[in-house]
Amino acid sequence: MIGLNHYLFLAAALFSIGLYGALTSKSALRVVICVELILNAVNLNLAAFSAYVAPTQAVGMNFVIFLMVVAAAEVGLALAIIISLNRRNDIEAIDSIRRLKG
Amino acid sequence: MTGLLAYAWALPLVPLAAFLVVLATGRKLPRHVASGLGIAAMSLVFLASLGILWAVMNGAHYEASAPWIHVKDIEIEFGFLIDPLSSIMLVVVSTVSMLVQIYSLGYMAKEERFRWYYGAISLFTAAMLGVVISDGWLLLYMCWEVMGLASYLLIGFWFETETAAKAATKAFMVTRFGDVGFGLALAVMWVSVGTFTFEPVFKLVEEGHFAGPALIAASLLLFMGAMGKSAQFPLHVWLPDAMAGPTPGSALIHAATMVAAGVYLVARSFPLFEANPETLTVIAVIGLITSLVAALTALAMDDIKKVLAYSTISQLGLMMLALGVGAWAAAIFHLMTHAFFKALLFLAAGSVIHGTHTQDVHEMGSLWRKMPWTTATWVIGALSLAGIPPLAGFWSKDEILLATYKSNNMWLLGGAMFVVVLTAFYMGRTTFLAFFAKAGTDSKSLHAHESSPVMTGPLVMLATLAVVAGFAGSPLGNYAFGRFLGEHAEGEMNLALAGFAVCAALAGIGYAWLMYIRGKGHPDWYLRNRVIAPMLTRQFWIDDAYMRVIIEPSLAIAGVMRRMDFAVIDAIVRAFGVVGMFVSSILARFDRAVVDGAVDGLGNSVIEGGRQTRRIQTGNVQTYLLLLAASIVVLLVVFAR
Repeated sequence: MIGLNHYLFLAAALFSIGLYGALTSKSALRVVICVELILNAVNLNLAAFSAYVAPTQAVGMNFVIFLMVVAAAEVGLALAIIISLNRRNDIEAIDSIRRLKG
Repeated sequence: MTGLLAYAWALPLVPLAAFLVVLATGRKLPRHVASGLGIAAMSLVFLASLGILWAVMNGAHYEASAPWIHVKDIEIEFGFLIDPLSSIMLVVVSTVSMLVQIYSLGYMAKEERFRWYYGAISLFTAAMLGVVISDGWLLLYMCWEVMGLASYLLIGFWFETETAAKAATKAFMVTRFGDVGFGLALAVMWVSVGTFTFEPVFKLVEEGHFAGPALIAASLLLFMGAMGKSAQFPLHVWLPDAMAGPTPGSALIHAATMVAAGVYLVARSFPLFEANPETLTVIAVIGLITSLVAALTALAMDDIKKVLAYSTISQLGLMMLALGVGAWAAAIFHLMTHAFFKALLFLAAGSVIHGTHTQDVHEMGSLWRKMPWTTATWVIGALSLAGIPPLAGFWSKDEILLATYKSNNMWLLGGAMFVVVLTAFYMGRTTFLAFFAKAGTDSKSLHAHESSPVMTGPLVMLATLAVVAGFAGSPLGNYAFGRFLGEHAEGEMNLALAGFAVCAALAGIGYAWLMYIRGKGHPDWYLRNRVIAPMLTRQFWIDDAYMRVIIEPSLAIAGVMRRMDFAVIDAIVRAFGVVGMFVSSILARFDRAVVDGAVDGLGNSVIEGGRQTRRIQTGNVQTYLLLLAASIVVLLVVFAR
């Protein structure tokens, strides 16, 4: 029987994999993919809680749909930044970019 | 004429105005305007004084006062009093002052500070008139002090010379010493009776409400003021030095009028002294000592002005003697005649000095050939001073001798007689040496010349007064003077006494004639005597005594104080400085180490902290993310429990 905990463990695993990937990847593209993984882990959590805690109200489901839209927009934005970075510097390794330093 | 009396308060203001004009305009004022102002003011006062005297002789009496100081329940009035005494003084002062000012036109003509001289004389006259008309001791004291100032200014007229400057300071200091007594007398009076006006105080004395030690103290302190001003022993030392001033100024101030102010003060305050016979005795004794000491000192003087100065002191002593034996009217009578003949003698001496440019009688001689007017007037003055009838000095001196005789004190009478002999002798000596003895070949009188009429004119007028002024108080004038003052007459003239005094005077003159004209005996033999000479030439060591007893100890104390200042006070101050420096150096170190350290340390730690924390800001997004995640984990661990 699959319960709420199973979903939560899966989501936690997904989150950890995403976080690890985001921290360790050199490729900016892979970082973006990992961030998507983190977002989806959150989505899974929201959907699971919605289904198990308040099945009659579809509140969590609504948040998931919002998040998907936000993630899509975010990916668009991130891809645009990556492309412009590549054009200017011909680099892809994210740890070599230190422009955010104050 | 009585209406005039109501304006008597304005008398001192007239010369005062002249003084203020001179003071305010200075060099802008033409010379003849300055002198003209002074003389015009004095002439006005002289005429007014004659009018006042006339009115008073016809029985007028005027007294008026106005509130002066009013603080809570303290009320002091000032006012003026016109009675026989003050009206006589007014006439004496204004007459002498007017004649002296006219004379000064000639004598002072070449002076640089001609205007200032007239200003100072006017200031003096204003003050003297104020003294004479004030109706209380406080106003009198005020004018008295102004008079002291005017005297100081005139003695120090030639302040470029050291002697004049020193003489002025000496006169000021010595008379000030007497004035301290006067001031204390005022204090005693205020505490005991609470008023300074003559009449109420006299009334209280008469009724016996003001008596005992307070009255004795007040009267003796008043006399101390009089001693300073009237140059009584031992405060007489300033007067001979005061001759450093211009001769006409000396004639007015240091011979005729101001020095008589002390006599006037005692005469005016006489009821205070009369209440205690002991105080009168003190006055009589001091007067006689003064008279003797000064007459003896005059024997040794070669400076013609110094002889007159000591003779002035001697005559003032005689006046004090008269006061001391209770004959205040006789004292005022002698004050008046003395003012005329002593002013005359001084002005004649000034004329001689003007003509010969020397003051030493030994450098003169045979002056009668060159200066007939001066000689004639001088001789009248000298005979008057010596007390030869019928000149003024004879009558007034006779009154004093008579009063002394009636006091039944043969010591006083003997002393006074001795003074008469001495006076005749030193006046004879000076007269013969300067005017009649044969002039030496190098004598300064060979080139002497008679002075101008502006100088001889006042001489003649004063000589006239020196002849006639005495008749007012003589049997020939029916003792009008004494009666006018309201004093009980000394009684009929004692012919034997008068005859004896005249013989004494003639003996003095005769001896001088023998010694200096006939050449019998050694001239000035007493100045060769080993015992007498130092006594006379050192003026009885009084100046030396002051030097030893007052000045040298003062200087010694001042020296010790100075050394103490250096050794103790300076050391203490310096020690404070050293300790302060030491403490502040410690504080500075503390400041630098602790306070600065704390402030700097705070700043440095912030800088260092910033330097360390900015390392976190790598600019690497992944690092931020890692830290973010780690922080969340930490927060979860801490707060999720």
